[in-house]
Amino acid sequence: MIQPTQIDIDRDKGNFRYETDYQYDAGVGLREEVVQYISEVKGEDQWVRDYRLKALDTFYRKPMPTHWATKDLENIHFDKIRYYLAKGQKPSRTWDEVPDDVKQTFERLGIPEQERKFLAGVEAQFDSEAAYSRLKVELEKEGVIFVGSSDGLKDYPEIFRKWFGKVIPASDNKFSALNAAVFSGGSFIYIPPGVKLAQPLQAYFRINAENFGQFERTLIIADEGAELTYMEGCTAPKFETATLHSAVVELVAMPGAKIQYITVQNWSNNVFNLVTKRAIAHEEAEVRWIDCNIGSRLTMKYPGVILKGRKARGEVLSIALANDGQHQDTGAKMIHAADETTSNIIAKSISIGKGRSTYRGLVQIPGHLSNCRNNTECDALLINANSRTDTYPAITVRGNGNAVQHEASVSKLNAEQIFYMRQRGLTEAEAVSLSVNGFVNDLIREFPMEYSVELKRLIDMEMEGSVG
Amino acid sequence: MNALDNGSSVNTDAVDTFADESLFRAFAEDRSWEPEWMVDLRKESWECYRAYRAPVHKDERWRFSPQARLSLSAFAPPSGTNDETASVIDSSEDNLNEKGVTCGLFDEVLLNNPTVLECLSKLKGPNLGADNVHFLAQAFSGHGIVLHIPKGVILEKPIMVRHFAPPDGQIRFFRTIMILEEGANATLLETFISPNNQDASVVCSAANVVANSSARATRILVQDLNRNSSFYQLDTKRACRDAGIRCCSLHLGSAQSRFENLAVAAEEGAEIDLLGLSVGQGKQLFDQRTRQLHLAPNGRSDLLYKNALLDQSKAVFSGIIKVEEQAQQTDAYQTNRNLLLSPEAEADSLPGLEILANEVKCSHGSTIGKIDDEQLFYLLSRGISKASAEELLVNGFLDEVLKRLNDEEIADLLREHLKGKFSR
Repeated sequence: MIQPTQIDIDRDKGNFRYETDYQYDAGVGLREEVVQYISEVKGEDQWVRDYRLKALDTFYRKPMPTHWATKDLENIHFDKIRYYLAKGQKPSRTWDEVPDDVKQTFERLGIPEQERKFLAGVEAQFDSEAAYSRLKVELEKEGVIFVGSSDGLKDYPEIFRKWFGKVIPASDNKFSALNAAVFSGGSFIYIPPGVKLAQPLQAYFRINAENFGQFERTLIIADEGAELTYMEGCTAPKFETATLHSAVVELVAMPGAKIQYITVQNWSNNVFNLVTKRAIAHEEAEVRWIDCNIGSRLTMKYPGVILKGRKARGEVLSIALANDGQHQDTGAKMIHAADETTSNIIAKSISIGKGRSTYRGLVQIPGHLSNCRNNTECDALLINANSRTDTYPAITVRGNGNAVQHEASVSKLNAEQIFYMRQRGLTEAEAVSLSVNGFVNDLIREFPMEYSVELKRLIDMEMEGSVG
Repeated sequence: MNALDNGSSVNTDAVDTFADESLFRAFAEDRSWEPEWMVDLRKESWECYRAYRAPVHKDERWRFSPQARLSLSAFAPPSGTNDETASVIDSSEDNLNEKGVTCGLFDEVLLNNPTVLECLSKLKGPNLGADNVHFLAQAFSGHGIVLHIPKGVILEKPIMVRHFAPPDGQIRFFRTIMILEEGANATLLETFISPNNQDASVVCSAANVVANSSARATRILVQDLNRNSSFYQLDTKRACRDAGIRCCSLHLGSAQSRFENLAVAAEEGAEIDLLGLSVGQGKQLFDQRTRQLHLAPNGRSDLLYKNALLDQSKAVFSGIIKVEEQAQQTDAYQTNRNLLLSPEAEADSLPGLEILANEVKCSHGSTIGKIDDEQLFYLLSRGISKASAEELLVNGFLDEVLKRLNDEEIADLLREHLKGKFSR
């Protein structure tokens, strides 16, 4: 068993390099020198550098997946993107140091400053480095490691190297290869055996430099019997040209561990958000992905669970909201690799205006297994006459020992409900908003309190002006 | 920096005899009696085949399909002279001529009544992956059945046709053209069989069913070829205003079969029912691709495909419901149910929806499962042997499809074909 290492909580120690007026900017475009530069700046070990370079090669070799995905991917100009930029910014340590516009966004979403102070750990990521980080001392006493990706690989290689790139190899897809080549930022978390975190860990981050791609790398390891909830939320201001966000998130749930990973994202309309998320669940472990996608030009995200140990359980709960000019291409993957594994997928999508939401799923149960079960439900709600929704599940089952069921439906707003509410004096917009919130309500309830409030407001904000 | 070109690769088959100009010429010369437009159509289709390029990346329309098993590369084009025993019409209604009905073998109609077939160039294939095979069917077809029902004519009894597979090593293209004019009503039942149990041959059936305003068309297909053959079924159905089309395909035979089915609700109020039944044994492969396309408002389509899979058999189902923007008030369903009866049977299911209109009711469901233990236990506890209990349960599973035919006579005919398929 891995013994938790004594954690150095003197954050200043790791920060000295930001105090130089180094403009950490790798320039525009993707070349081997860029990857070398990022590795150099981060002072990485040789094996990380080699890993990056190999991944870059894989990225070049892999074709764009446009034979099944949208052709819009061809509009990403890889040579016009900045792959690394830290602006020489000092990471903020206290709430006062967080920039005003970020505070405003938090304000609009209804998260008062006071409340946030009680949150267990907050990692706010601005551009590619942490701008605001705070970890409660109690967490550290338990032996929890919660650091940035570079620090994780440098300071705790004995813990993270074993799983880094193992759940999602660089060659998994073109964008995981890109991330592996240029990753920076993100969180590496290790929860020691038996430690059950009562408070969720959080990471807030946003994009604030034009033409800037963020390539976070997150790796969470929950050791035997450990439990944690991790939340990430993103807000991004509007920019003229498209930006690329391509993260890789790997989760490892050791036997009996429970991981709940919650995402609320609200990208601006020009962001390509192409994320690879996957978890490995060992014996009797449980992994839940709760995913809420709002905004962005194109989101492609299919959180997956590899059910590797007996009785492992995987779950994906997903809400997607596509407004004008947005395409939410989301879904789930469940790879059953052991007996008695179960998985559940519930996906709800809302298309507003010319928005398009797509569900893409993959469920695999090979023949040598028995008593595996999967349940998939996809519901789509279309608000306007020209809204669009697609569903593309793929199910493969071998052998007579397993059972899989999949159901999907498409519907529109219930006219009777709207009429009832309008009759009682609600405006049409209010009525529609309530009705939409009702459609996703059973999923929103799965979110922690402050998130569900925030989510409802986000949905309300998106619904503004969609009717009438 | 990456291979983003939308280009294509050249057909990789080493020797493609279907593209051989001299063989195509020989075929055309044998059929010099054909009308000019038919000659042109064949030539055009053949050119399309030669120009056809498979996509560079793996084609999504062939996902999960062991495509190599369905290759035609070991076969050569048929000769232009027809074997007149390839298809037999067992029509059970007498005065078809008096009613103005055209009902005959493809070549017969082409010779005696070519105007009926002039629409042929407008009848497209399903284009769900085997596009090149459809081009070949257009270019090399000589067999098949043509059924044209004039306005308002209602046929009480089904037209029954038997099609026979060609001798060993050969390929045979059958065309089915079923056109119902306004208010007409007819049922066509086609059975594909092999003359013996050994010959390894390919049968390709390319069917177009058109139901004009308020017409009712029913088309049943039974495929019971021997276990050495390959079968292609390329169906295109088009229902016009207030018309109804009901189709059922029963797949029992052949080593491997590819079934593409495009059903178009082209005008307001069109209704389409698509039913499918497959029973797989040994290493049989059933590769099913469907597309329910709604182009106009108030349409309804309902698909139910059931597969019972024994031994190492495999079924792939991939279906799409596409509702275009203008097709409001559409009601569309798609259900795929698979029963796995052995540890090595495999089912792949890809139900899909593409919805561009909002005032619709659309849903799909897909299940892959095994025989219900409780039901089995119930039967066993009443002294029924395991084998017969399983057979009973499987028949019950499949019978839901037959009941949807709303025609007991035809359902009984299909039950006959199913009999004994589960005796182990």
